[in-house]
Amino acid sequence: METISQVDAEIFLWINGWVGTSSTFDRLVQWVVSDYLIPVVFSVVLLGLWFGWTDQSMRERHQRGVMLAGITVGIASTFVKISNVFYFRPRPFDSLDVELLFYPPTDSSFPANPVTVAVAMATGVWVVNKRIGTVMYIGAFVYGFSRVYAGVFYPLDVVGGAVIAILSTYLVYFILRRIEPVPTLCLRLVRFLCIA
Amino acid sequence: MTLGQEYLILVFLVCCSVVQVAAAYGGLKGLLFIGNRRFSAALGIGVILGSLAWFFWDGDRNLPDTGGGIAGASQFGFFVLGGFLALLVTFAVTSFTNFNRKSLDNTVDTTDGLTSLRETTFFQALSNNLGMAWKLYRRLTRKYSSG
Repeated sequence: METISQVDAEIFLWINGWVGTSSTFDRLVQWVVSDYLIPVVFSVVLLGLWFGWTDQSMRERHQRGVMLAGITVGIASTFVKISNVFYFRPRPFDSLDVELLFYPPTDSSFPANPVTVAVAMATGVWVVNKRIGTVMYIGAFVYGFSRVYAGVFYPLDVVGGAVIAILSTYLVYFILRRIEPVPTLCLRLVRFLCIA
Repeated sequence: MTLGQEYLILVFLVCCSVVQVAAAYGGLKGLLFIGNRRFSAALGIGVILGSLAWFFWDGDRNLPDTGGGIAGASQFGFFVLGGFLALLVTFAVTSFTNFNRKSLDNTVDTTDGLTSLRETTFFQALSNNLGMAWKLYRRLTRKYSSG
C-alpha cells in the first residue's frame, strides 16, 4: 500500500511538474478542469442523444442509454459519498509541493468525484453507441488528466473514480434488465407525453 | 450578475440550442424555431459555441463554493432548472410559431411521441394524446358511473 501511494505521488509530481512550462497550455487546462465545462458538455450530449435520431428504434436505444447514464450518475455519486465516510485521503497540495491551477477543495481526494460523474455518463452512452461513447471517454480522460495536472487529484484517485463509475454502470444496467418492463413502461409514459 | 445566474443562462441557451440541432438532425420540424433545418442546426451550433465562449471568457470560473462558486448540489439544481425551462420555452414557442404551418390530420400517429413532431407540434400532439386517454378513461369507467 505504501509503495502504491509512493508511486502514485511520484507520477503526480511528474505530471504536475509540467505546470508553468507553457502558459497557453496552463490556460487551456484551467478551462477544461473547470467544474462547468465537461459536466455541461456531457449533459448536453445526453440531451442531444435523447432527441436527435431520425429512426424511432435508434432514438429509443439512445434514450435507454441516457436513462442508464442518468441513473448511474446518481448511484456512482452515492458510492463516492459512502466511500468518503470510511476513507479520507488528503489532497496532494496538503502534503506535497504543488503548483495549483485550481482552487483547493476540502473533500477527500479519493475517489475523484468529478471523474466518476464524467465516466458514468460516458459509459452509459458507450453501452448504446460505441463511437460517441469513445469520444466521451476521451473527454473524461482529458478531464481526469487535467485535474491531476492542476494539482487537485492523484492519478489513483482518477482511476478509482473511473472504476467506480464503470462498475456502477454495469450494476445499474443489470438492475434495469432485471426490472424490465419497468424501464420500457417509463419510456412509453414519456413518449405518451411527447418528450421521448 | 452572480455566477449561479450566469450558469443558469448558459444552461438555458445551450439546452435550447442542442434541442434545435438534434431536432434538425432528427427531422422533428415541429420542434424547430425556424423552418429551415440546416439553418436551425447552424444557428444552434453557433449559439452553443457562443454561450460557452461568453461564460468562460468572462472572468475566473474556478471558484470554491465558499468564495462565489456553485456547490455541486446547486449546480445540479441549476442544470435541471435551466434544462426544464429550455424545454418548456422550446415546446411553447414552437407550438405557437408552427401552429399555422402544421396541420394535425388522421395520418399522424401522436402516440409515436417525438416522431409525431415531424408532422405536428408538441401541444397538438400532447392534447391529442391526452384527449385519447380521457376518452379511454371515460369508456372504461362508464359502467361504474351513476350519471
